[in-house]
Amino acid sequence: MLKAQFKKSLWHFDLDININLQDQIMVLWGPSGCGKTTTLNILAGLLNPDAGMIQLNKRLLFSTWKHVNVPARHRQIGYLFQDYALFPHKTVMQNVCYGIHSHKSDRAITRQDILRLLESFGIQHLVGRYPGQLSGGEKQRVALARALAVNPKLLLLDEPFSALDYENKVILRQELKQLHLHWKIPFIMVTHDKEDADYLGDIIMKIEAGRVIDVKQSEVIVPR
Amino acid sequence: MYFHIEDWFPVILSLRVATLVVLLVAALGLPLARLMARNDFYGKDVCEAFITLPLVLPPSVIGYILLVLIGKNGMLGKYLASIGINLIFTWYAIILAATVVAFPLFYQTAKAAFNSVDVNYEKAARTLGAGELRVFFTVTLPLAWPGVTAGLVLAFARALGEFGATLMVAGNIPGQTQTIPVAIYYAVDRGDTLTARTLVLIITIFSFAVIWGVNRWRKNV
Repeated sequence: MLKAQFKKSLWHFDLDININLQDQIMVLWGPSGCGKTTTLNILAGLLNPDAGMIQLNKRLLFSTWKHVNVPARHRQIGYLFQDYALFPHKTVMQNVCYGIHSHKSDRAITRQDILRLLESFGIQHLVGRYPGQLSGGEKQRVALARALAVNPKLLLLDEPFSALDYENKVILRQELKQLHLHWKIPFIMVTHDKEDADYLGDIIMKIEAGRVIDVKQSEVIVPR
Repeated sequence: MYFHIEDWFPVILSLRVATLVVLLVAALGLPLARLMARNDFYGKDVCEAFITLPLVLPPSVIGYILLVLIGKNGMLGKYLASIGINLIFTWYAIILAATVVAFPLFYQTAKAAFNSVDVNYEKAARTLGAGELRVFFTVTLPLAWPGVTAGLVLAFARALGEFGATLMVAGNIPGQTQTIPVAIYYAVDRGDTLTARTLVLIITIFSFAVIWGVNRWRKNV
């Protein structure tokens, strides 16, 4: 469960966000430059808000009043970047394993677990390839596997379908929905595509110039 | 006239100096270049200008400034003399002079290389749990490596060819502070063309081999 409430002065407007999220998919929807990616960066700990608090499963990650600011590396928040940010000098296997070597406590995750994860994404045959040798859809699956390999408590996705053609997008959208049912953690996805927002969002939060102007719960009840 | 065994001294000294300078410049330059490439702070422009200054100043000016600093009556020199250390006219002075002139060359190249690395890779590494040191050694440095090696080659070449500042702070003491460029200058001065030509040939072949080797290696990486 995620509770977040923060403010940040940006160059041309003030960002003011209030999020209350169970294990659902929340879509941040709005035009380019309205503060969607900044919101993800603040949640991930890559950027500091001017004031506010972020709490994930009762663990306080940020609070201006209590002077808490957990660094990004300890937040256990998965982040799928818009261009995927796969390390170009590392193979698929090395990319996916990168996070495991960071967490001493997660040594229990074995190569077998990783192979199983890759298999579930249908990319086990790509382990020896480099990101430059992958298609857009493959890159996205690898990036998702990399983000999930560290067992995150929240997954952030920044425009996950922007680099894909329509057919791939439709397939990966369905996969993402399945993935969410399987992982049972909150997902927050940024998009400016209305169709993606309607298809995936349990909650759609419309943002304009840093402000939440509308929060809509999905009418379709997804069985859990 | 023959090329004597002691005539090899400048070759060995120059290579030793250039190698040590490369190590020193990398140890100091890598953290500084990374810091400057990723952080903004008050007075950064002044710092940048100061670091780059030796690249622009004539070597004789660098030599003079170093003399004022570490010379027998220099500010730092007096203190060092009081604890029994003398740098001037030793090979330490050569290292110092070569480091000062080679540093900005490496720094500029390394900084440009770090700037060319997409910050999203570093951000991704952080969200995957990596600390700053791990981010640097597993993501930033490997991705900036071609530029960093180019900087190391430039620093090596600059250190190998250092003449003006070296002559002023270390002089020309055969068997002690005589580097290849200094030895060539004095060989020509006294009309010893054999020594001059041999040293010119050695330094040319060696420099060519280094550049060729590094280029080949970079192509394969």
